[in-house]
Amino acid sequence: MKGSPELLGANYKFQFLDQEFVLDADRAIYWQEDKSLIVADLHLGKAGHFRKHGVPIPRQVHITDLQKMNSLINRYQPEKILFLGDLFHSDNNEEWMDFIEWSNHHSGIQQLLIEGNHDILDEGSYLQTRMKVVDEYQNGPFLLTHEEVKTDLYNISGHVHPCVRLHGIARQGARLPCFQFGKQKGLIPAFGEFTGSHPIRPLKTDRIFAIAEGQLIGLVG
Amino acid sequence: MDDVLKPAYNWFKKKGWKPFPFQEEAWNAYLNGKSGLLNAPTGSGKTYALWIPTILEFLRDHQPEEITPEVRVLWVTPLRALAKDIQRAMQEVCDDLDLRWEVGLRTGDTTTSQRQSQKKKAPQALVITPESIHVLLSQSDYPNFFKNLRAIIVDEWHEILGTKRGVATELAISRLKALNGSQLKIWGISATIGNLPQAKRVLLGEDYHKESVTVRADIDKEVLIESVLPDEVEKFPWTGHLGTKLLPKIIPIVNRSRTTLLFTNTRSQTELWYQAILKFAPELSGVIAMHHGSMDNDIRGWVEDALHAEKLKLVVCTSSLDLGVDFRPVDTVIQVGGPKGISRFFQRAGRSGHQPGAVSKIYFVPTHSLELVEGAALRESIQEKQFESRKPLEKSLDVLIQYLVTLAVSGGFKPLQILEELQTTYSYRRLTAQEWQWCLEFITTGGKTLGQYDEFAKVYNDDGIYKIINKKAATKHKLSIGTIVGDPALKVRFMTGGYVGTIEESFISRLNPGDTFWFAGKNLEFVRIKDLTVLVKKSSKKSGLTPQWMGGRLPLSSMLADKIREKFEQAVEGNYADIEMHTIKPILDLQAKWSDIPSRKNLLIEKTKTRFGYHIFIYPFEGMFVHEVLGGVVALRISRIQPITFSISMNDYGFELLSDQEIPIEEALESDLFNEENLFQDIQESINMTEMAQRKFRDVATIAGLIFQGYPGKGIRAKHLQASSGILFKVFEEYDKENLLIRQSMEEVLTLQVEHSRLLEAMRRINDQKIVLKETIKPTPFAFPILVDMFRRQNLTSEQLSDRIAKMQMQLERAANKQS
Repeated sequence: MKGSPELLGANYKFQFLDQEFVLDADRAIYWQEDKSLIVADLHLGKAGHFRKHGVPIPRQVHITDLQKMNSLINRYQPEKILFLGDLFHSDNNEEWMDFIEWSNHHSGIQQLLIEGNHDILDEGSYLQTRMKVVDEYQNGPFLLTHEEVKTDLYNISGHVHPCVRLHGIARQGARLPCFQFGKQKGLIPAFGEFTGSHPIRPLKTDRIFAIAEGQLIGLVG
Repeated sequence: MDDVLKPAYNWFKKKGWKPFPFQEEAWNAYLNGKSGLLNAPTGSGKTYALWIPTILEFLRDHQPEEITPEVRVLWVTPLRALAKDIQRAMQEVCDDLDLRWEVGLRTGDTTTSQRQSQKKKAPQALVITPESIHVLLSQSDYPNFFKNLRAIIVDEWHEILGTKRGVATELAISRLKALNGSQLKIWGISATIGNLPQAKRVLLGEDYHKESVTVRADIDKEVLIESVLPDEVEKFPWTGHLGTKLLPKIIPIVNRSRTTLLFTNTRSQTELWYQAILKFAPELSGVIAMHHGSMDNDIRGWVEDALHAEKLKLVVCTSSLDLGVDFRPVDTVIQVGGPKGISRFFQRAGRSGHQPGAVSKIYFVPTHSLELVEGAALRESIQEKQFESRKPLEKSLDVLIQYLVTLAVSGGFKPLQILEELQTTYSYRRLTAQEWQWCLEFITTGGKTLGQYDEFAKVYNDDGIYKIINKKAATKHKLSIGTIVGDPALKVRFMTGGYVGTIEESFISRLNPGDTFWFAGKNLEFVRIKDLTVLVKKSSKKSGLTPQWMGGRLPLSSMLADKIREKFEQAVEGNYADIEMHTIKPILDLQAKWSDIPSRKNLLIEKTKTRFGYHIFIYPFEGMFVHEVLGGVVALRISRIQPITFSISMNDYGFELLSDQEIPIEEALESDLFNEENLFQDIQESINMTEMAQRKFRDVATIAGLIFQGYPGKGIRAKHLQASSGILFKVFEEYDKENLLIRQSMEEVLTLQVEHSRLLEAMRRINDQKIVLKETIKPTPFAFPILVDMFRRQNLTSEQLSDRIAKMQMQLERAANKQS
């Protein structure tokens, strides 16, 4: 038997390196010990960036993203939120205003941005929010970064927008966003609605959690 | 009048020629101020029929030395490769007549300095592509540049008609008409197609076509078709497999001829055949060349020159050599694979035997045995003088949006004025007020859902004039005018320098450095991609992959499809008079033994099981595009019986539904699977459930400027603006349901791909047929090509995704290239 999928529901408790993660089909992790919500690659402001260049993408795209964040906050009541980079897609546009409002609304929650390659806003922009910008975040066995780094700790990163390809008989197939946990490193899927995805090549020893129709699907190599 | 024509007669006399009656007819019509359509094949002297009267008009109205720098004639050609030859021929006439006209070239290849000098001192005539007219329309001084036009002559109109380039041509003409008034004449030149009157109306527009004329060359040429027959037919025809096996019979044909053109249907086939021929007949090396649209222009130009000079014995080519000037040395044409249409085949045959009274001979080489039926069908159709129509497109809003932004770039436009002009075009004659309003909103505010956001900066309504102020947006637009739609193409270059051609990104993305592939007849090793350029070096390996270029594969025309059904009907009746039908009799016998032969009276459905899953094969013989839509509808209707997932494949003869569970076809047939009721709702629904509309949207979005392909040489800078059409489609579908571009994509599936009427006809025909359901122990000879070819595939499901996934497996990284 290899890679046969197991349906796990909308969220799934995942014991990992003596820590407890709740993986959520809304593309987030709740980390019990750290009381934090981890999300990556929101790419807010991407729609605005496109509009600026004459491609009419509705603002509602990112409003949906923020609404999804709200429901995650309600569900887990985290003390902090760790944004694993690429929070904002481009230079400042009106969608940043939406985010400022959102951020201040959740002032009771610590907000940390682990800076990603897309995060090119100036300090002043962040000062209007509750966001603290850091290069990485470490607690217990984990080192959280935007892009994958070499480390002795277990590295969890975003950046690649991972997805996995599945195949069945009769030429059936699917491509699903996923979490990937390997021996030394893990990847989490892109949160943003207006983002693409990139197929990963899982190894036999990896644990993969794919997301389909609001369900987590466990896949073992 | 005779005095006016005198220079032309003198010129013909000096050349030792005599004008054909159709040429004289065209001269007179033009000089009488008429617009019209000239129906003449390539190599008939059509250029002189319409170029000469534009000169005569000038000589009639002016002193020969009274030459001013103004463009009087636009000669529109579909292919930039052709432009040079035509320009040369046109310039020659002027030089011979001592007329100091300059014939300029304006295509995507024209250098910046040439463009600058054309701007400073306009040539009297421009040979131009439809895209380049639009590029000129994006320049602020265009009204001045074009204000003295006397003629727009569109060459090879049959090739442009029915495409978005045709619509772009209509739009450009509508603008130029408004600038020039009645002094402007519009002429088209077209090979024979089924709807010549309509072709004329589309080109000339709703105003001009009423008073126009049609001139026919009436050069009747005899065409002989000979199929190259295999000695033994394979009972399980593997697509593309048979062709090169026939080389022992093809090479003698080449040897007997002066120069042979061997046409294949795709660029990949061209590469394959070139290799195969060189391997089989190495003595041809040096006198064999290949020619296809992805190759570097210079190499193509060299091939064309060598053809003229009779230095080549054989050229393997695609439709890239369908058009244009005549290659006199060519006396033999070979067609590999079904040409899918009668008109195209007839035009290709016409590339040989140009001496007056000579017979055009064309050899047909099937790529699988069953295809021989097309040889028989083609011969009969040509004898009966049946030609397909080229259906014009209507209301392509993506092209309209691109055009409006173009006008906004060059100083702006007044909506009412442009709307009036649009109403003279065939394509937009039925544009509704709402659609027009939507387009204006789309380019200014970005449409309803965007509403009041002022950030969306494309076109501003500046006191009634719609214009672009943002320089960046203007530049970006100018770069995307006439973007070639499709998979992004990358340039292929040697490490040491030297351009080879273009290749599609989807092919290269599958290669690893060190892999080799065939391109332009060379085996190349892939080194790396840098700045949107594929760097390669020569490889001495004997094996390599052949790139797949998308598109290029045409569906069977309904006329030819009908003929093919007739041929099978004759076979069922025991009539094997055609040599082709006689040859494939063993296949048909086996098919009849295992199953049945689909005919006009019966619709054959086969049911079988293999290790891949459960298959249903249905054979309507309606062509690939109709099968794609029909397959979707049939799958949808079956999927309502029980949750089930299908993979649908098709070819020109039929389609296949494949599932991992048994398909309840009997039950579906009992509940009237082919019912005409709700047909269009079901089509819409199945188009939504499969990815048909999404695939069309890719083109639509690119033309409308939603997908930006990047600044030349600055691939990286556009990166923040990259979004696949798939993501855009989903976003619009979810948040902007009223988006007319989504609707257009949907309609293009229905109109471009399958005319409503053709689908309904197919359904009616099926309903008049007796359904024959056969369960076979394995795929039959008819099923086999669909099974192995899998050209186009799509999926349709009524199962929950999670249920489907439960039956799937993850593909693991192969141990060989483990990640570190």
